[in-house]
Amino acid sequence: MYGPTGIGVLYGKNHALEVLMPYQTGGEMVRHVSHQATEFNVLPYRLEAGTPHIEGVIGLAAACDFLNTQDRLALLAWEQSLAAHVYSRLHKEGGIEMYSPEKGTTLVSLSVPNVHILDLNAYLDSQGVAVRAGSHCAHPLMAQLGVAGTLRASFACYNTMEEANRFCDVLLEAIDLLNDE
Amino acid sequence: MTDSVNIKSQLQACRSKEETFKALVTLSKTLPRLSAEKKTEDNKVKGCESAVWLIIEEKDGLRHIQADSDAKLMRGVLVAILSLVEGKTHEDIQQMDLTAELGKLNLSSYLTSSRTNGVLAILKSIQTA
Repeated sequence: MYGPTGIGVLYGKNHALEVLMPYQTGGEMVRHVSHQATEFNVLPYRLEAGTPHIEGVIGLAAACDFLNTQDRLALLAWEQSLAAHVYSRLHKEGGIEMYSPEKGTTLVSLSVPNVHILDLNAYLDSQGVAVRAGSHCAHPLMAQLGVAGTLRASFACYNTMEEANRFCDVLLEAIDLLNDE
Repeated sequence: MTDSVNIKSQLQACRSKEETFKALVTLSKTLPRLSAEKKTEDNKVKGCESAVWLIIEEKDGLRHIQADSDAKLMRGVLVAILSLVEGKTHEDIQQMDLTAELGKLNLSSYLTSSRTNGVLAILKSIQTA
């Protein structure tokens, strides 16, 4: 969502939130405390102990405002077109295992036989291309696929076609540098 | 294996992440690979993103280390690490500030944080074994 890290939204119905006991104590979650009794504050305060994540809340609100000014379907279509372009370019090269579908997603996930994904990742990093390399918190899936991990390039609405092509170019350079076995 | 002075000058000459990457790829080719039967679970270093195996032996009071990894860049890093500690006594190795030594070889800024953690695990194994 382009917001800061460490912030999220918990949406709950009042009657459900009413039965939740505070899991943390701190400022504002309590109405009155004495040696004899404790009275908790009303919702949502009693579940929001202490100082809130102020900069996170402001940042997330700004991200929501940004997204609300955009045509979300157009953003999705753009991201999908970048991913489909990269897929078709890399698929044509051969020697690259593609795990993401040809169309309909906003990312590509791949591996290269005989080349370690962390090596690919390091080269992309050295060229200023940010991707994810690893098991993506899906170890059983990686085991099922028979790979140590995959390299994943995710596109955002602000990425350009030029950047998508640069990712392909740098990846192909990396394979060239690393695949000598 | 390339001698340690040579390894040092090669890495110190690097002026960018890309140059360091290429130097490590070149160095990785000088590392003798371990046979499959030596890549045991016991020899594996815990805490590395890529698989790393270390075999540390002592002969006449001097440490001799064999190492391997499934990732090429890590093999390059291992060549650099081994050049710092190979053939030294355990006491000498323990007294070295290996993190600082690797920093002088342009390697600390190059490695991503989770990989650095892997390298730290390797250094710890070498210094405590």
